[in-house]
Amino acid sequence: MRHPSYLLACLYLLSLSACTSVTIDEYQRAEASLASGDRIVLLGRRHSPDYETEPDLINCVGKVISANQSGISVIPEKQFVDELYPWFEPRMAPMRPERLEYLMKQPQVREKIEDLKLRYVIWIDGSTQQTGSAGSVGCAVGPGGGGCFGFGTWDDKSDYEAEVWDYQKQDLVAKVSADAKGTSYMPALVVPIPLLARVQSNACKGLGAQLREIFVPDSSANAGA
Amino acid sequence: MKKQLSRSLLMLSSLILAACSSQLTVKGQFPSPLTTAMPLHGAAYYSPELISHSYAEDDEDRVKWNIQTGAAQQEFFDSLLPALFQQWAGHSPDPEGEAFKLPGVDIIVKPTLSDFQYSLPRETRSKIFEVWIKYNMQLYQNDGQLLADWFITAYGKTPSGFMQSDEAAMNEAIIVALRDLGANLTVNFSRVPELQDWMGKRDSSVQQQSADRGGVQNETP
Repeated sequence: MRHPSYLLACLYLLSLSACTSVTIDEYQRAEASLASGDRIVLLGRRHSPDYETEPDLINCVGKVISANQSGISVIPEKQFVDELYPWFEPRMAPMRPERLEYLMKQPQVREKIEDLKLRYVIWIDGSTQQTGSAGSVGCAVGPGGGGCFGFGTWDDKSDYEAEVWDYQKQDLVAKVSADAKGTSYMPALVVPIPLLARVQSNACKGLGAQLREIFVPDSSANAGA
Repeated sequence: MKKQLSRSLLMLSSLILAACSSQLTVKGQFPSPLTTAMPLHGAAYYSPELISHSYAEDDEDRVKWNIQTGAAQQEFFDSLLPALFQQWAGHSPDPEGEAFKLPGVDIIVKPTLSDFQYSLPRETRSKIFEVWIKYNMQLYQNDGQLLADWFITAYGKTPSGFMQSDEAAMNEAIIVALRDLGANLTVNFSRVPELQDWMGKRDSSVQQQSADRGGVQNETP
């Protein structure tokens, strides 16, 4: 009789996840509109020596933007960077929208971008870092079996900023920032039970939804309906 | 009994040693650059040292890495160099070889890896694998005469990912460094002063020759 209640307690703990708080800020300078066939690309900044914007975060934001039949076509980051090699490598990538004009002077680059039907470039800069940790979990194995005991906790912080550039006008359209914080817990009583704060994932969802709003206003309301 | 014990100890120590060493053969795909090709007929010479290059860590305090980069370097230069020239002749014999001549070809490119360095996350206390590479680029004329000789550096980094092996992360950092080298070469190759001077002289001599020919034709009754 003791076993089912123990199992239920474990299942209950597994279904829990730690809380994350997300703050989204937006600054929009101009209207953004996509004509039929126009596409966008999301690119991660990789020029900082201390961190790299994670490729999986870029993929995640791309999926959120194109989800719920938003009608937004996103060019995969790797495909775009490879087809336009080397003009979007960290050493060469334009840091300001005005620099797109220089790129357009390269005939092969202009042709390739027109082939891809690119209208907006979205640069995402930032990363998710562990900011602190406490506690410890110890595991041991003996002839009669093994187990883990202890309690660990750690804090994660995501800090991302997205810039939307209009390729045709070579101008900044909007800036969106996403800050997310969360604490994960790992109690271990024989079996470790991770209660993870999905910090990066929540930052991705918040950032993606806000960026989608720029291209398809009220899309979140429609998605929720 | 003693023999068994020493055999077990030997096996245990080789297991520990194997756990502290990393073997990597760099693999990757390199896109061809989008650029305006120079009006030249080019070729490349890769020395046996470049093709079979491997880096073996000999510092006692570091993890024992053995990194084979030769095949990846050749693949990289084979994707990059043909895009820089309007005509490409492929691989050339050694331009420093005896009685070297390659008629019809203007320039032979010889890349030599002169330095390779890396840092691991546990050394920098960051979550990043970093790679620095330095090449000596040499350009030869089709008679084996050295035309230009300069150094070029590149940098690559990649974060250590969850469930990603150290070997995969190091491989990625080297690929990023080679791509960075390609970006540098694509933009700066045509700006090498010796190459610019040589092309300028060659163009003016061609113009002079055609002007002379035109003059001779005009003088003919």
